[in-house]
Formats: sequence, C-alpha cells, structure tokens
Amino acid sequence: MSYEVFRKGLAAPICLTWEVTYGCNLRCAHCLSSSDVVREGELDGAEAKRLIDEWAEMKVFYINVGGGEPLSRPDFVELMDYALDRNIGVKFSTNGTLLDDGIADWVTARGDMLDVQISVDGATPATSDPIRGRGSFVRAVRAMERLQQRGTGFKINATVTKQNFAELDDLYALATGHGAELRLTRLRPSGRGAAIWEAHRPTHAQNEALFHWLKAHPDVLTGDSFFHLSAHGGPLDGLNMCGAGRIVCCVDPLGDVYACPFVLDDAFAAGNVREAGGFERIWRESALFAHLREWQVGGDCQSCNAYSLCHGGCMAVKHHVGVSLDAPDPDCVFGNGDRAALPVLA
Amino acid sequence: MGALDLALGDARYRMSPDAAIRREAFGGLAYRYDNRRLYFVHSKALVELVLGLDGTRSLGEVLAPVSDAKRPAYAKALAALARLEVIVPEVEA
Repeated sequence: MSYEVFRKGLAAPICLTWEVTYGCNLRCAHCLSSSDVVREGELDGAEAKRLIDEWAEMKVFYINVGGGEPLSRPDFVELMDYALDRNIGVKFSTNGTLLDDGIADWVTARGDMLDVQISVDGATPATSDPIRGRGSFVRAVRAMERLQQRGTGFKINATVTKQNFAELDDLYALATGHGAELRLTRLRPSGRGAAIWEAHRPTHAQNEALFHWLKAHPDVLTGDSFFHLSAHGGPLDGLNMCGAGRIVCCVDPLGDVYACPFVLDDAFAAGNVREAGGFERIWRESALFAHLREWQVGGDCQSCNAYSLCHGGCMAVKHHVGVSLDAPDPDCVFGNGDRAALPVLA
Repeated sequence: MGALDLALGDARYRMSPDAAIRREAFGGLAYRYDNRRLYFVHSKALVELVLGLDGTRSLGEVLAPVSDAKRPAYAKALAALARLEVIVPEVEA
C-alpha cells in the first residue's frame, strides 16, 4: 500500500487504540503504558460514551481496546456494548485473569464484531511468568479454556523476545489447540519495556528466522508489527507501513491522543479529547498528525534499495532508544541500526 | 443493458451487516468486520451508489441513472463488491 493514499489524511482512523484505564492487576516488565493503578482524571463513563459517539459518527471501523487491564474497569462491558451497538468493531486485549464465565458468555453472544486477545509471553509458565508475574500463565490458559468450551474463537497475543523465541512453534500449538489464532507483536522499548529491551529484544539472527517463520505461517497475525523485517525479502501480510497518525492513533485513559500506543510521550501527543472540537478536530487538524502524513524516514535509509519494503522501520523504537527518527531502525536487517546507535562523540 | 442485467442478476442488494463503507478524499474505504479485510474504493460516485443501497433495488436498477459510457465499469465494480460480500442480496422472507 502506498503512502500517497494517506498523504491527505483519512476522514477517520481505520482503527485506533483506546487504553481505557491505567489500572492493572499485573505489572508486566514490558508494559508499553507503564500501567499499575487507576490515575486521577481518567475519562468517566459519560465522557467515554461521547467519545464513542464521535467515532461512530466518523465511521471508525474498529477499536483496539487495552489498558491497563480493560476488564478491571467496572463499566467495561457497558462501554463495549455501547460501541458495538453503534457498528464499531471491538478487539480487546486482556491478561485473562479477570475473564470469568460471565465475560466468556458475553464475548460468545457478541459474535464476529467482538474479538478477544489473551496475552502470554511464552508457551510455558517458566518463560511467560518472569515477564508477566507468577501464576499469570496458568490464569491466562484458564481464560482460553473458558472461551474454547463455548466454541468461541479468540487470539493469543505474545510479544516476541530473545527468551521466548524458541517457543514460537509451541505458542502456535497453544493457539491451535484452543481453537484460537496466534498474534505476535514486536517488543518495543516503550513504557517499562525500556528497562528490559536490550536484554529481551530478539537477536538479528532470531529476527531473520522470525521473518521466515512468519512467511511459513501466514495464518499468524502480526498487526503489522514486523514490517521492518520485510527487507529480508518481500512484504509480510498487512499494510506494511507505519500507520501512526496516518491510519491509526491512540487515546489514553486521560483522553490524551497520541500518534501511536508505543509513544505515550509529549513529543507524540496531538491533543486531548476534552478540548473543543473533541477527537475529530485532533484527527483532522493536529499539527503533529499533519506533519506525520507528509513525513517519511529520511537519512541514509532513502538510498537503501529495501526502502520500499521497510520504509525505515518503527519511529517509536527509534524515539525510545534516543536516535534520530531519520536513522535506520535499531533492528534494521542490514545492521545499519547498530551503527546509527553508536554514541555521537562531540 | 440485457447482458448486464443477466450478469448482475435481479436480486435486490444492500450493505452486508458484516461490512461498512465510508467516504474518503480518494473515494471510500470499505471494511468487513468478520474477516478484517479493508478495501479501497477509488471512486466517489461508486461509494455514493453503495451508500444508497437499501435492499429495494437490483444492481441493474441502481445503475440505471449512470451514463451508458460509465455503466460497464460501475457494474464491474459492484459485482466485485458483491463477490467480496461487502454488499449482499436481500434475503427473501
């Protein structure tokens, strides 16, 4: 897909990420939003419904709902029903610990418009629990079983790390064994992830093997997470581009709008939905989004013959490791990111 | 029109309940909720035709006001959207 289509800006995001609360009962080591407790000033139910009304009016096709742990928000089901009844598809990510029989029944009753992703970060407690907390894997599997018992499809979401890389096949089997699909996500140095990124990011050799593994498993979803690896030889499934501010954005629990859920940072903040004009004005008029729609990664990447495949990679990763957004992605398949990351001597 | 009617059939069409379409500067975007597929529609006029489908008219009837020169291209595009199940025949009661 060409960037050109998005230059003028879409009338609405194709989808957006909505973090509904910073409250969470887990403390995952790589949490992109550094979630822990409910924060002062989170959008209340009435504000949340006004936001959903705006999205329905704009015809946002679906929302990716996360947090924090969305199921810890008392009005979660009410808000999601409100969105679904207005023809907005919902995919929500949960750690599964609060997914009881009532939630499983609700998910089942809602059908195709509602998708659930249950997160684990390995195919065994020994691999997943060090990231997500003791007992988290077993509780996530219990949630999977509740959905499977009802014949309800869902997704297992895992962040690919150096440590769980050897378990990709087992993760795939875990998903298929529960009538589910596997979705893999790139580990980014966002939020608490910054502290563990160097120790947990896959090696270049693992990333190359991952590219081929994904090619061999076209039914594995990635949310366009790994387009920077397309330079290994042909695009992966998906739009293969950074959608930040162009086709996606993120609304945090406080109503702050960011270009992408992986950069909840002032540098990528476009406004707050409580301001006059609400979400729609931010989407259409924010200077940050206007800039991103014109902007492409420059620098040395522009002259690389793989540029049309990876477009210079992920700006969130670059931002958090402190290199220029025009530098190659730290995981550039040609190793150019390693050179860019060398400290500049004054 | 005869051959065209035959190709499109006389079923009355509407948007699929599992799909949505919206206007964009380049035409429009259609999305299917059930298979998560996104489709680019590069014609504003075609998007208006689809938005106007209400299950009371066949595609031949929908295309009647379109000029003879443009009708074959529109018919082809509507047939494609039908094949992709973005638009579906109204089920007879």
